[in-house]
Amino acid sequence: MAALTGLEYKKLIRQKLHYTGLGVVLFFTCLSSLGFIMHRMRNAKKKIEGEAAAELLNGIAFSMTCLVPAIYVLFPMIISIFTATSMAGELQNGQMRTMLLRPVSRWNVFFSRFFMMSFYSFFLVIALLFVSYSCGSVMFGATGDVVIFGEIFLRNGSRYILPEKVVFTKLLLMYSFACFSTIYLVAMNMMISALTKKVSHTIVISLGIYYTSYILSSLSFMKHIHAFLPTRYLDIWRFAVVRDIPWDQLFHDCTIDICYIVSFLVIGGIAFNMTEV
Amino acid sequence: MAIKAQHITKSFGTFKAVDDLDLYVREGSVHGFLGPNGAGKTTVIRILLGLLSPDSAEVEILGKDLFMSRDQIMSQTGAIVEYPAFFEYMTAYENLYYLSRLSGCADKTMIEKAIDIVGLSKVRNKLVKTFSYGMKQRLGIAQAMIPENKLIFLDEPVNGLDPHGILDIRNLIRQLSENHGITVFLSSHLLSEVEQTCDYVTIIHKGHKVCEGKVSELMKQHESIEILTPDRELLKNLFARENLKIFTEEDSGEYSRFLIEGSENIVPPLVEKLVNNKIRLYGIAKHQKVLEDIFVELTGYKKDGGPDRA
Repeated sequence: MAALTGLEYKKLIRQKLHYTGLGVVLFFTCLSSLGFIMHRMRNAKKKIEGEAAAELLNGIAFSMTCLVPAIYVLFPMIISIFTATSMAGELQNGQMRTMLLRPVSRWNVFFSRFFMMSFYSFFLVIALLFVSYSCGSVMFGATGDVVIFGEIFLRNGSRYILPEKVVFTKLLLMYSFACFSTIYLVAMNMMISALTKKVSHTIVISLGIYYTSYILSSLSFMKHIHAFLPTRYLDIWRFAVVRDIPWDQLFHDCTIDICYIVSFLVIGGIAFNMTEV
Repeated sequence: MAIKAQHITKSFGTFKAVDDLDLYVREGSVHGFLGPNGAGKTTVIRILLGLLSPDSAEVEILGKDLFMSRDQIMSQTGAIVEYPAFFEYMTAYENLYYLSRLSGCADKTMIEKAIDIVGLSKVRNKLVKTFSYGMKQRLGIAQAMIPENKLIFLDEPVNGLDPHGILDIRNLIRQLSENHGITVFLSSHLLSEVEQTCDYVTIIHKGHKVCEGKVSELMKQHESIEILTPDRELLKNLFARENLKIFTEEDSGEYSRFLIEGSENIVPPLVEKLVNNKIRLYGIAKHQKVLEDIFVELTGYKKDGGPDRA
């Protein structure tokens, strides 16, 4: 399994997908930093809870803020497209058949793809952390107190300041939890790839499910179905920025996410095993 | 037997693609699997390779049960199914290396040898996306050979190739069997290819086996004698008396052309009889039916094109 995952990762490198993903992360960070600079300039004289707003918008705040749109929009899109290309694309173009003519178990092939795409999504998240924090440190300073805006991070109107001594840990936790969320996305895309066997269908269906769930979860009058939406428990990364991390709730949401991941993988694996190539 | 398959049946919805087909392929032979487009050839190959689940089948490949020991079988079996599909962003060598790693045996010497046999040594380090279709077919055969496979399935291997490419692939297939002792199971709808390349042939039509045997014997069974004579009625009377079977009769005005049952050893006594009965003879010769005639006869295909669906 490890050897097969390694081979799959080499294939990914040869396809230069790393560069594409990294390019998108760089582009996104550049645009975000431009927005952050302008925001900082316009609010230079403002004070939040007695502290200068400009001081609170440092490298850590920048890196934390960058993760939010990336994990909501950018990474799901990249992961969906790359997983669909890797799995459904090879099924569609015949390379999967060439592989399955070898004495290799379909479960191994399926799980090696899953691990490979998971590692790739970690690479993207870590690349964003590295690029955004480096960029933010140079432009806004390496560290300091960080202001947390509830409407950005927590889907509520709260606003508070995290002290400098905890912010770096919170940043690392936030990105670690985001890595976990990407596993969920990879598993969902793997399942849909195995079921549809077509690149375009996989992308449309997985992103359709993902974005529809998020849109519905933002509509309060649909609150009765919120608990059943597949993305309901996905944004566990936001627990990291809460002053006192609610470990019970985090554990609860993670458990549900793991159940989803296992279900996706079992259904996807069975579908892939039954696929006629 | 390299392949012993019995009662292969496969349906897609209400359409029965393969119906109770038996197949026997001898070790070390080149076995042709012939049938018109849509006859079920690729379906059978996919079943034999474990890529498709049959409705029912008993398949033994290289002495092992396909459904119990597929991995063991696949470690000695290679194939190209439908078309050669590779990782286009890798070189020819890297593709073979990657695929042989999947077989658990990445021997560089073996890969080099396979590349050499199929004549791709000069382009081994070029990306597959720069390859022509013919080169991909060759690479497909190379990947089917490694790691030291004993049985190779080639599904329509000369499809899309130019005449030079076809000739090269034919020679390569013969070479694999004769020089390397590899059993080759080759499906095709090209009769000339099977006639010139294969030792044995199985002909299928609409999912049913219509004929099986050694190509040379099959051709011999379908030998006939061609007679050109202006004395049409006299000849027919003589044949009626002698109980000789007339296959076809064509009248071209000045004389008639008869194809009668028999091989070349009946020509001398037949000439004697014709002369004794004062039947004028414009010509007499052995008529060798080509596989195409046999195929048409067995599958009900009309020479003017299209299958006889009646």
